[in-house]
Amino acid sequence: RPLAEDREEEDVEEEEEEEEPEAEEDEEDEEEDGLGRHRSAARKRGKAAAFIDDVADEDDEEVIGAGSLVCSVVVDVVGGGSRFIDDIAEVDDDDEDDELEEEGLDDLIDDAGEHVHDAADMIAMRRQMREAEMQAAKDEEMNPEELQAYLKDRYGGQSHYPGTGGAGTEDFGAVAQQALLPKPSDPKLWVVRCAEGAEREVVCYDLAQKGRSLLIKSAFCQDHLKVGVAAVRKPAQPAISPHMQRGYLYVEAVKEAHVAEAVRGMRAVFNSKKPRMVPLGEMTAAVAVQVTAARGVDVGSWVRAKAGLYKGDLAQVVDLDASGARATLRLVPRLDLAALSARRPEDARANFGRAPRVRPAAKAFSPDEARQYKTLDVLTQRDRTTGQLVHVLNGSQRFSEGYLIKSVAVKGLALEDGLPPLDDLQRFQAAAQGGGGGGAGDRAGAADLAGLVQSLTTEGEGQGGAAPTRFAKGDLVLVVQGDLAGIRGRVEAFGEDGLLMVAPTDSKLPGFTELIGLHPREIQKHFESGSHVKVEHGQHMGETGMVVTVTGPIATIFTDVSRQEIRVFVKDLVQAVAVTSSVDTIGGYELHDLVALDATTVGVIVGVERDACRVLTNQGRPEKPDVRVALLPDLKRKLNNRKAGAQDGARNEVAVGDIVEVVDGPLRGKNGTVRYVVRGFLFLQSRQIPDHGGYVCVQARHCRLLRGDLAGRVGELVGTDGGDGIVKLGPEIKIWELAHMQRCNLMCLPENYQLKYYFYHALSWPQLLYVAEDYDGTIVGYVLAKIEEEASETHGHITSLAVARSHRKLGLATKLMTAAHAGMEDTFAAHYASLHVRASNRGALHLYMDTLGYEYVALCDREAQYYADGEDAFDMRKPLAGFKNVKRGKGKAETLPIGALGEPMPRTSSDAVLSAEAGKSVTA
Amino acid sequence: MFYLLELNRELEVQPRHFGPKLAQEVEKRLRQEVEGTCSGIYGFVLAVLNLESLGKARIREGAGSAVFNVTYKCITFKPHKGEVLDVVVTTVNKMGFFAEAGPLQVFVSNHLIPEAFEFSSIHEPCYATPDGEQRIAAASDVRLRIVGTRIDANEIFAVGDIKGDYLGVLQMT
Repeated sequence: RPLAEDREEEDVEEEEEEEEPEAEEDEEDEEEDGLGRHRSAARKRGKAAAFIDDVADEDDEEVIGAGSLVCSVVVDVVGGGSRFIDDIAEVDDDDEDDELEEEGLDDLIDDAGEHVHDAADMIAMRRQMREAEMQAAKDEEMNPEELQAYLKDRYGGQSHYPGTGGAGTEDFGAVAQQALLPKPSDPKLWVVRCAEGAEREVVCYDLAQKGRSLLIKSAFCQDHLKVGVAAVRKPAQPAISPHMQRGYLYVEAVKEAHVAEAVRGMRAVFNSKKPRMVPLGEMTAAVAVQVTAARGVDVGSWVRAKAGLYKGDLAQVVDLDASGARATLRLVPRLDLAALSARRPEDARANFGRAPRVRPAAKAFSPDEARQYKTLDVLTQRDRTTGQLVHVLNGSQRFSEGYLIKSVAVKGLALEDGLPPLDDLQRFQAAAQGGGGGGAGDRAGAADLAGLVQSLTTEGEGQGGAAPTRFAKGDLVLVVQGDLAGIRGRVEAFGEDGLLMVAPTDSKLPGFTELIGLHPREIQKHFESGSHVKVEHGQHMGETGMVVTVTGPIATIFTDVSRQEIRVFVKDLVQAVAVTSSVDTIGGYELHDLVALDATTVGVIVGVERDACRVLTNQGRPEKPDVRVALLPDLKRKLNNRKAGAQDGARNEVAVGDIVEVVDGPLRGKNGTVRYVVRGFLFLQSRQIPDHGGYVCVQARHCRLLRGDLAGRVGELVGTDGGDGIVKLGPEIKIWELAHMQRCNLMCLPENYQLKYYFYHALSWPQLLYVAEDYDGTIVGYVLAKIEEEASETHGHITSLAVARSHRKLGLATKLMTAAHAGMEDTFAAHYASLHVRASNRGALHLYMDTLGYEYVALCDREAQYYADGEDAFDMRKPLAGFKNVKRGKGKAETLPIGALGEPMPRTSSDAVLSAEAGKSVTA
Repeated sequence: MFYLLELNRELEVQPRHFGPKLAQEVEKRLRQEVEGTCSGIYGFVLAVLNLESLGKARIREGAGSAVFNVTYKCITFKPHKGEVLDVVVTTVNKMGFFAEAGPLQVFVSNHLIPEAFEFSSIHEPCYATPDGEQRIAAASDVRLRIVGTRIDANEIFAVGDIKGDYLGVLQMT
């Protein structure tokens, strides 16, 4: 059997299998004669049993039987070459062990329930069989008794075969099943990694033909463990271990070393990966064979196409052929009439069988629309059997009431689990209403939604309980049928016969506390307005929201994330505690992620649908936002530029998380939180904007930062209005940056300090140390200040201030000084700040006196030797806020001596260069 | 509903604030951090009234910052199901309208607006009675009853209802 078979083939084979009962019956007779025992067993047990077979006297076709889902080898622990290959098809995990054991004991008693033999018959038959078996196994190393003993030893002491059990094999209670579960003392199951697709090869040929005695108990692989199968498992089924993937095989053994020994040297086994043990609790899951529920497709069933143009589309079965293999469907057509009419015959041949590249939207068929295309041929007929009008397009496609009528193979359809979600149904229904110009369609068009739902509900029940409302303990329910209709209650327990025990909570039944047993059909879930719910099924699956109203079976919900109203079936809702933070994902992208669409276009995901999302891009204008529908491949990458900044209208730095007000354009007056900053655009989220989840894209310069009175405050000064530099707070300055400060000082000023002097400042008064950084982190300015604590009044002193020549006239010095002042004031409660400045440094004098409010206090003349080159220095002070009445120094003077500023002082070497070139050198 | 609560909070103060103005700094920081926030338990913290106690700070080893366990009195606002509130309408659309009661945002679905009101978007989106007597548009004052609240970690959202006696547009006299 080919290894790379696909699922559909499996399905087919299962069907074939099911058609074999007659053959089985015949073979049973044979079996009772004790002839062809093993072979018949292979057929007979194909459906529900496992068997053990001898390789010795059977040929290879036995080894891999048709329809097998599990392939395994049981390796003899004692004997040298005897191996038993068994072949199990569609076995439930619970049955497997018993059956193995059963066979070991008496070899193939017929299946329970198929035949009922009386005890005497059974005994006679068993004796007969035993003799035959003795005969057949003459040349075997292990006689049946030994085998029996071995199997008995292996599979525990249960005896279920009819000869002694009397009650029959099918009578396994839950307790008996429990006893079959693996115990810690049993051999363990080990997962071995092997090449994908080579699992069977390893198990059937390599392991089985190793020719040596192995210490392992058995080995098997599972065919159904294919990529994706585990993912589509229904939640009701047991959690399957993550090992359950392709490229694994299982080995049963006591020790890991035995497993390693057994698989050693095999080509397809990856020896680099050590075998992993399957936890005890997952062992049964590992050997379980997935039973595909073959629920019948019936007329009226809701189905979805598995592949092709209509993949995933809802369709209704209108007819089934006699064999049940083909169904006639009614579905909403996806037609591209323009493309159809433009298509030439040779194209049709060239593209035969290929789906159109662009999937046309599902839309009701309208004959009038189709007739507008000259090349299209639309025939109108009346169906002989139903009497309905049928339109035939181009002699091939048939339409009725706007729906496409199409015959397809049933195996290409997926049966919808119960009633389809409301939105799908509505779309399906809307097609008939929209395109129902054909006369009979009007009837459907007249049906309102409630009627639709009512009819669908009854239909659903007609299909054999296909409306699976899942109730949980604690659910609030409303009785909708029977004498108690209108009564509300709470599910308290699950009674027998599928009844739900409901405790009435209604005020109409005061004092009534007994539990009422109600059929699930009689009740529906009930939600109060305002309760917070989660949608469990359908297109809106996973969304949470608040119930606005409930009308009959339909609830209106205001969703948390998208802030929209959606309508869903009450049965699809459950009470939710938490808001799902982001259920809306497409690929690796989540709602409200910033994504790049192309080189220049970026946008925020504002809506996620099944396979597409809506992206609000930066290409639109506020009055006309550009929202594009993007498929997963259109999303190039996720952007995460949390640190990006832009400048607002007042050239303030705006960063993510800031609150801004729009001051220009149609959104003027709105404010919102900056979520993303991209190339001068801000993506704001504002609760004043109703569309796109409150997101809007505006230009940064149309906004104004709202940050209160942050200017000039310590700590919040990070960010400048100059733009080219960032003022950084003292404690944030890294130690190596002190060296950069020194370099800056060396480049700017004639008075320089040893590095230890910077350390001294940084360690003593980190609050007074600020640097201005360029975009790349280069230090382009600094202020070095200290606190004079010994003085009569605590005051700050600016030791040194410099801004690189390339970064002057940006307000950096002002900013640095303001920050230092704030530090002096806030932290040290300094009364004033003082500094010395060269008398000739006009730029600095302007900054201190005019911009910062320093006042001249005294002159340190040549004799004072403040500057090494002998230039005069002015002693200046600035009172700090809160300490206005500064005591002035000894040389108190209200105004600056004219001579100081008016007549340039005779310049000396270094200063002359500096002043002449820069003119604005800021030195203290 | 408004509450007067005594809460406490841990505040970390960096060593550069250790000085004569430390207490003011702590209060400033407390107001900055607390006022305007929203917690699921207490609702929106509207205003800090006063610092009850500063407590003894602990110095964080290595960082040097001080952690204060501050007890403070504040006014909070937490909406409850069934509560009647006066709100100001902010936006109106065909789904219903959004309104604000201070920091709280409330949505009133058109299912929960009396049938007498009809949506119209002719001049500006609004809900109005056919006689034009009552009109809900942006900036209208409305009295509503809260039917449900959704309380997140840092946001409270409510759904309101104006179908009921004495609910609806507030007439300014």
